[in-house]
This record gives sequence, C-alpha cells and structure tokens, in this order.
Amino acid sequence: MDGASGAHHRDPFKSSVGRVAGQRRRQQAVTVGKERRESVVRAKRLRRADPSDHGDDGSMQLAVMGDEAAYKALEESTVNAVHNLKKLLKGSPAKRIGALQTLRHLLSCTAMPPVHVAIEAGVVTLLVDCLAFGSSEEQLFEAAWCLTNIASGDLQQTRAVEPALPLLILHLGEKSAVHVVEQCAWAIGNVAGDGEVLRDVLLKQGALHSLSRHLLSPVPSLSRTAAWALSNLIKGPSPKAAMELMKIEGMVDTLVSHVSKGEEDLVVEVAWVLVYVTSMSDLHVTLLLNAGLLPPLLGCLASSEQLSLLTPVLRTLGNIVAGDNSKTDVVLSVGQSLPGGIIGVLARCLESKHRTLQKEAAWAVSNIAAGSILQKHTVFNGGVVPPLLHLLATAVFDVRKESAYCLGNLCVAPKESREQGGIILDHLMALVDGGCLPGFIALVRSPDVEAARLGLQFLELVMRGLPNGRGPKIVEKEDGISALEELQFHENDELQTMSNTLIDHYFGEEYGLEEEYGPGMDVLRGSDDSSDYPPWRQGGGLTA
Amino acid sequence: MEEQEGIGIEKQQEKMEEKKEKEEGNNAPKMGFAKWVAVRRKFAIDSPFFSAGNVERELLAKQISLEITEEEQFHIGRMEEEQIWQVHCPIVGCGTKLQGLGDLEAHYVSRHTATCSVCARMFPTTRLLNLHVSETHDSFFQAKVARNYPMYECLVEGCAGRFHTDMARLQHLVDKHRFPRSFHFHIKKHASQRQRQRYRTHRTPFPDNGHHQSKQPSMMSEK
Repeated sequence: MDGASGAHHRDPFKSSVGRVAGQRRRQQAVTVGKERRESVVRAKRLRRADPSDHGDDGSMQLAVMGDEAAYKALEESTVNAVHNLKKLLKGSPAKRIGALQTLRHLLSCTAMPPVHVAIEAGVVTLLVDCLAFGSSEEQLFEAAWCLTNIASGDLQQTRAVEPALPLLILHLGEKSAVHVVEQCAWAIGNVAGDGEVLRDVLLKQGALHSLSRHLLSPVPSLSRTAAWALSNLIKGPSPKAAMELMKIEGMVDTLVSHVSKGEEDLVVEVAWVLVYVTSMSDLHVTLLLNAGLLPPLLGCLASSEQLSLLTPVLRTLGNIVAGDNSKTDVVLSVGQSLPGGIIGVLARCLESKHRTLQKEAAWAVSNIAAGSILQKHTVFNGGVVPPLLHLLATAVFDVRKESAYCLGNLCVAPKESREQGGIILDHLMALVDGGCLPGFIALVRSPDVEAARLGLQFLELVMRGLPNGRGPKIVEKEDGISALEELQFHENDELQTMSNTLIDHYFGEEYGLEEEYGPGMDVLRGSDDSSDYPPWRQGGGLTA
Repeated sequence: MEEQEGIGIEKQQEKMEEKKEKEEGNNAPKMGFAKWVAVRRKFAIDSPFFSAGNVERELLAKQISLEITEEEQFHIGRMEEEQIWQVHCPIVGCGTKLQGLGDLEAHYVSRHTATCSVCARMFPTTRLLNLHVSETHDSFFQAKVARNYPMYECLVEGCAGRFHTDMARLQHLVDKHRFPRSFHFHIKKHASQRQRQRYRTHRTPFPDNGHHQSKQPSMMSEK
C-alpha cells in the first residue's frame, strides 16, 4: 500500500480516475451490520473530525441525557462556543474553522443537541456569515453541519434557520465540493421535513431545481441525500412541489433508472419520491408506467427483504392500482413475469410479519379486487385467499379490516354487470366454506363504525346470495344473530337501521318456519306487507 | 379524518338495484340497507391510514449528524483503509488537506474551476462566477448599466428576472424568493482576500499558510 501511494503521491492527477472508481466500489461493499448501517451513514460525516483532537474534556462525550448537570454544562459550553465564533469571525480563517468545529462537536454529541441556547446566543447569523461565497470548503462544510443539526430540532428552532436557506441552496451548485453539497442538502432536507410553510419557502428559493441536479451524482451518498431531501420537499400535502419536480426535464427517466439500477439505499429514497408523485398526480403515473417503472418496481417488491425498501415500493404500487382499471391491467400483465405474478408477490407481503406490509398489501389487493371481473378472477385464483382468510381470523384490527375489503370486493360483481344480483357466487361460497364468516361477525361487533358496516354488508351478501336459505342458517350457527341484535340499539342510526333490516328480513317471525312447513314456502318474500304470514294462515277461507 | 371511504353509500343505485331484483325475483332487503359496492379506495398522502408505515420514515425525517462510538469508528476506519494517506492540494494558495485520491480529484475539479481569475473568489456554480465577473470586473457591464439596460440577473436558477440595479435585484430576491434582506452577493474586500492575492504572486509550492492546520492529521485515532 505504501509503495503504491508513494508512486501516486508523485503524480497525483494522472491515473486517478481508475482509483477513484475502485474506491467508490469498495465503499459500497462495506459490510456493516444492518443495525449499524444508519449510524455509519450518518457517521460518514465525521470522517474528518475526530473527537479526541479537541483536547476533549469529557463534556463532549455525553451519552446519558438524563444527567442534568452534564447537560447544563453542555449548554454553557455551547453558548461559549457561539460567542467565541462571533469573536473569530473577522479573524484568521484557521481560527474561525476551529471555532466552528468546536461548535459542531457540541451540536452533534448527543441525540438532543442544545440547539435552543445556540439559537438564543445568535448562532444563525454567524453561520450565515460563514457561508459567504469564497469561503473555504472546510468552513462551508462545518457551517452547514451546524445548521443541519440546528434544523433537526422542533419547528420553532428550524424556522430560525430560515436566513441561511438561500445560501445553503446556492452552495448546491455544480462547482461546490461534494461534501459541502451533501451537507447543505442534508440541512435543507431537515428544514423541509418540518412542515409545509418552510417547504414553500424553499420552493420559492429554487431548492427543487438545485437539489434535483444531484440526483444523478455518481457519488452514492450525495444522490441518496439529494433524493431524501427532495422527498421531504414534495411530501405536500399540496401537490404543487411534486408537480414542479416532475416538470424537470428527464425526471421521469431518472427516477425509473434509479429504481432499476440504483443501490438499495438510493432506491429507498427514490421510492419515497415515487410514493408522493404517484399519490398526487395521475398523469405522472401514466408517464412513469410508460417509461418502464413497473418491471424494476415489482422486481424490488419480489426480491427485497428490507422493510425500509418494501414499505415505499408497496405503497407506490398501492397508489398505482388505486387508479383506474387500465393501470391495474398493466400491473397485472407486467407482473406475469414474476413467479406467481403480482398477486403472488402481494401474497408474500401478506404473509410477512410486518403489520404495515400486511395492511398495505391487503389494501392494494382490495383495490385490484374492486376492478373488472377478470381482475377479480386473477386475484381469486392468484393464491391470496388463504393468507387473507388467515389474516381475517388472526391479525390486528386494521389488517383484518383491509382483508375484509379484499374478500368482500371479490364477491361482488362490478357495477357495470348486474348478473346474479351482483354477487359472484362461486367466490362467495368458497370464502364462506373457507371459514370467513366468524371474522366478519367479529367486525360487526367492533366499535369501529366502518368495520361494523363492512361486516353487516358482507352478512347481507351471504344471506341474500347463498341458495336454499343456507345463508341465514350459517350466520345463526356462527352466532351472528346476537351480533346483529347488539347493534339494534346502537347510537349510530345507520348501523341500527342496517341491522334491524337484516334481522327483520332474515330472522323475522317466519324464520325457521320453512323447516316446519317444508321448503318452497316462500316465507321470505317480504313484498306483501299486509301480513307476515303465508296466505293459508291468514285466516278465512279454510275450515279447520 | 377518514379520506374517501370506499363503501360509497349509494342510495340511488341501491334503489335501482332493488327494483331490478324485484323484477328478477330475487329476495332483497328493504330500503335502508346500503349493499356492498366494490370501489377503489384512495388515501391522501397524510391520511392516518399510512401512519404506521410512516413512523419509521418520520424518525429519519430529522436526521442528525452524530458523533460515533468507538466501535463504529472501527468499522469506518476499515472502510477508510484506502484513504489513509494524505496530501495537500498543490495549487498555490490553497493547500487544502485531502484524504485519498478521490478527495483530491473531487476537490480539484470543484474548487479550482470556478474561481475568479481577477480576485480569486470561488463560486459554487459557473453561472454565479460569470455573474460575478460581469458585475464586478467588467466595465462593459457598467457601461450598459449606465445606459439603463436591466443587467442584474436574478440569482435563482430558472428565474428570468433582470434588474437595473443591484438593490432592485436584492429587492426581488427578498420579495419573490424569500431571501433575507441582509444577503449580499458582492462582498467588500477583507484581509483573507488580500492574502490570497499575495499568495498568487508568490508562487511557493505547498505554502505553510496556516489555513488548514486547525487539526493535526490523526489517522491513528480512527481505529
């Protein structure tokens, strides 16, 4: 290693390109445990600074926040550091940088840095001065780092950073040093993470364009930080920023390219950008699909094990299939190349141990099952029914609710086709035989109005759809009648009416009579309101 | 607040269905019961529906650059093996401490290509450099200003604003782009800039300029 570096030392500029590429590849191959990964990514900021070369006096190595005396000491040190920086603003750059570093250490040695005292001591104005054009890289970097951590506090503290924003954005320029750009992007990302007001300010100051240039940076940490900061900038809820982002030339292709070829950490951030874009702009869903987003997106979903990647990818897919039938058709057809198709991939998510994945996968399936007959058949035959039945019976409440949506949607025909009274009987019977009824009855009993409504509506389907009066019998067997009766005096009018209607209609006084009097007795036809009893029982006409 | 609940209580449709079903001879409950209708459900970005999945995300929404523990330092040190040797930028007047060739190349490409050749100030973009040069060092620019052309361009990329004076441009930056009033593009000269000019004429390699010796290089500590 020494010999090689010596040779390079003599001739630094030639043959450096190959070395740089190799270096970057090696950086990406670092094998650190997943738990450590986040801290290592953050810790890369510290590559240049070293805690021990500051004559460390121990107060900087605070690990325990609960120690009040130590925290007070930290606050005092911070205020002193700010005053010190103020004095050194007009001094030599070296001393100024030293003061900045001291301050930066104090702002980064605990999980809750003493931001408030620094702000009160007037740190932001000083840091803005340190960001002036022409300042050395190191100064810019340190100042941006301080601002990053100041902007990680609460809303009020983050707003205090506002005067620094224009310079932070300007230093994203293409001639700035990479680590300066990255740190400025990080600070901007923190500011954007705090709410729509500040996002608006950043937008007006041109942050979007400046950040998006770095999406294509060959430096992985920079493209990742830029993508993350952009995702914070466009998260809305107003779609304005997302629209502006997508208007940038080449953006659609850049995003698709990153999902296809980027390393996993970058794809995570880009996926969140896609979550917001697909939620806010139907037009861009189409553009993204046309640009080939689906194959790599579905590939990620099928193969990744990382929750942090699966979450936004799944949600993006969920947003896409919440659109119209044609988009869902595209998803289904592209997904055919995966084992089990897209439904198989979603089934895998349903079987995951992560509640979020279960819930959002079920949501996606429910939207596919709300489509055309063909889509419903694809879902039904795609292997999701067993996991859904399992989830309906055993999962946490919100997952059960989503599963209920899937199963019910599978049983009703699309609004356009009205055959069989709108019920897809073979699906319904298969689900009932699969034991879904207890789960729906449990929903009827739940305190959530929406869930209770779902349960009631499914019971109605069962009782109306199953031939030979089998429906009410099986509902009774699963103790559904008492669930209905509990709702009869519910405070919610709608639920009360619905349950009353079902009871009157299916469990009225005629219920059970057909067993007494034989089948074919049209006891359930309620259209003749004059009497609840069959004609021959209505008296008159017959002699005993 | 729930967004767009998908069940769609569509009484109208339900009445129609009922009529049809009576015709078809189907048993149907009376009115007052909204039957299951399969509709797609979309949720807004900030809907509570997504909060579980957002938790992890929000935790990362505020990232802090933290000091690292010794163990983590060890891992990073391993990563850094390629970069243990150090060099100072050989460009006169710079001498920035750099670690590894990647650093050197990146530094050179960035810092020494957007420098004003007149006053040695460095800018983050070529465009800003060009604006600086025109506005500060170009008499032709000043001549056009005197003849009342709007020569001062807005600094924000993508904005086409042009103004007759520096002050007017600043006002625009404040009004339209929310810059603080204290922002200045042109900075008065101060000591370090003069120092830089002095260095440019001296031409000593690896000057001991005291710029970047705030820390001793300490690779050993990154174990």
